[in-house]
Amino acid sequence: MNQKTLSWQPWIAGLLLLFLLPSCFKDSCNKTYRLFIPVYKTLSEVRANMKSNTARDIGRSGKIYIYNDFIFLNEPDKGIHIIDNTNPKAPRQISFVTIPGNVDMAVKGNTLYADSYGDLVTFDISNPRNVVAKKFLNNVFPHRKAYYSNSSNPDSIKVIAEWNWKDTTVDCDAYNRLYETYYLSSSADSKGNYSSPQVGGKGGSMARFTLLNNYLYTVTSADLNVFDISSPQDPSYITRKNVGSNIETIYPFRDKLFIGSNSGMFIYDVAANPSNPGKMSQFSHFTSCDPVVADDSYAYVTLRSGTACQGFTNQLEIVKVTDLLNPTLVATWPLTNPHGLAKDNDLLFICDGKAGLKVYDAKNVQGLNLIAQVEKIDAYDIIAGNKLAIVVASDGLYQFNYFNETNIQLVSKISFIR
Amino acid sequence: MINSYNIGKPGIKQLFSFIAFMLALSAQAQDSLPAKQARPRVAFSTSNQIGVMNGEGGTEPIVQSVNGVRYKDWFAGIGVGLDYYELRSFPVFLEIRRHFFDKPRTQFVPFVYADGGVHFTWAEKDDKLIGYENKFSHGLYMDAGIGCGIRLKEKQSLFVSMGYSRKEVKHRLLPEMEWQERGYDSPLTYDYNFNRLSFKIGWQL
Repeated sequence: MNQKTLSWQPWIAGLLLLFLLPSCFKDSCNKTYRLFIPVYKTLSEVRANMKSNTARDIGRSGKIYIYNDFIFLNEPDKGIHIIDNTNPKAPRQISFVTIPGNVDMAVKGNTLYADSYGDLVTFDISNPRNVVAKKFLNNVFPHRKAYYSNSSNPDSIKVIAEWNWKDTTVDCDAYNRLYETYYLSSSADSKGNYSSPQVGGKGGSMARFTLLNNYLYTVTSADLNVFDISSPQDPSYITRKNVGSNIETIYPFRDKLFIGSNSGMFIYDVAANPSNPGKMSQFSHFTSCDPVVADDSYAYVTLRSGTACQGFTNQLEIVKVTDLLNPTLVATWPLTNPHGLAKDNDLLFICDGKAGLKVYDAKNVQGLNLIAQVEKIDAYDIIAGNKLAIVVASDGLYQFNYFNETNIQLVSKISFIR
Repeated sequence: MINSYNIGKPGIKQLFSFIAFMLALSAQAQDSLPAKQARPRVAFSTSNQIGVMNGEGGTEPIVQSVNGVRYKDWFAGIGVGLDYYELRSFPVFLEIRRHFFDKPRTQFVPFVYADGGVHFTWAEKDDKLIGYENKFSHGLYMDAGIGCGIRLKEKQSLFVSMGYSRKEVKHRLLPEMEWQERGYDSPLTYDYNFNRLSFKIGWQL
């Protein structure tokens, strides 16, 4: 060892420095999020703009409705995209109906019903390229009341018409402090969900609006609202009745309403008195989210877990409903994270979250047979009929044909721009 | 404290596999050199090291193998490794090392080193936030410090080193349907800069 050429002092100093350094080493974290800034307009201005506007990119998917050759796709809180689906291989976005605060819709004939915050808006859609608002029912969904407080004058009421946003980067700790001290103490905007089908158009199973004969039925988290639409473009609000808690979906079945909550399915009879449905029975299940569809004999209920749904169950439950006073569970099938579902004759379509779209042969409900699966899409809701399945997924609106049920084919896709 | 991570423990199997692989590589490098051959001016050299990264996020293991050439007092090589600090990743880097006082009869050979490159993230299940599509982007990796080699044979030495290391990670979160339908549709991005002290022990051939 050549001690003369080796000077230890700098190395010892370096080592000491490095031992002292860890206390100076801090990991850093910056969070980039979207800061949203509301754009206010008067209620009069907002309503004047509830019409067909230029088609625009779809940012986020919501409820879906089919009427004739048109697809109505809700973009939550913003409005409804109208898509000409005359040629499913090349669907065309033809317009966008601006409806701030919109999350649900239903279609009967040439009339579209949509919510706008706490209001119900009736549209004439006889010309889907020129949709016109015909009537506004104020504050019929008071749980989403956003602006009726001090005034009822639409020229002075201020409404959030849209949100501008900008990416904002802050230190993570600063963001957490901001979140804890501000956002958690402020009142969150409640965002409804889901809707339903049948009389005029056809909706997905994630529906909170549904039509049956001359009535529009809507559910909130606790209530069933009834509207008389015997004069379609002049609806009138009839009544509201409490039907439980954590209500999520509503589905018409013959002259019954199947109402899904996160703890069970309720069956309401509308034959005797459609303006005041009466509860017939209920079927309880684990706490979970549960879209429903039904055929003549069975109701198909998908239960899913998730942050917003609570519970830990992800499965399909098949409930025999031939005796509506005594619905009975006949089969369960494990699934990944099921959302919307659809039934077309013996085919059962299930949007199973990240597991994609699953197609079952449901001739024998005790022995469902998976005959096809579309993977790599985060499927959310579906409408199936005439050998065409229209699927809302996280990244786009897909259409598949199932002429060959075991080999379903992609027909087209409209991508969402996020 | 890092916000979105629930860091999992490193896979012992993976660590052992990596170490076994490097040992095999070292043995091969050693076998390929004649025992009594004098050190050439430019020579292949390999160094394998294990150690820990210590910082605000705790102490996590690392393993590395650097293979390259040595010329006089300089060594330059390409390194690969496994780094479990906060988020499992594979660093791939260029290492430059400068030895001092490296004479044939010197037993202790100090050196300084600098590594720079990228690390490729290999996220574990616990690193991902439920309800979001998680995207981890590859980022800068660097490590610089000092060390000292202890010559065992003419061409073999043990060494220890200590330095400052930095690893950058971008974690992008895109809400999945479950959150979108509740109105939480905005993407989030976390930019992490992990600053650590690296302690390594290794052997060089």
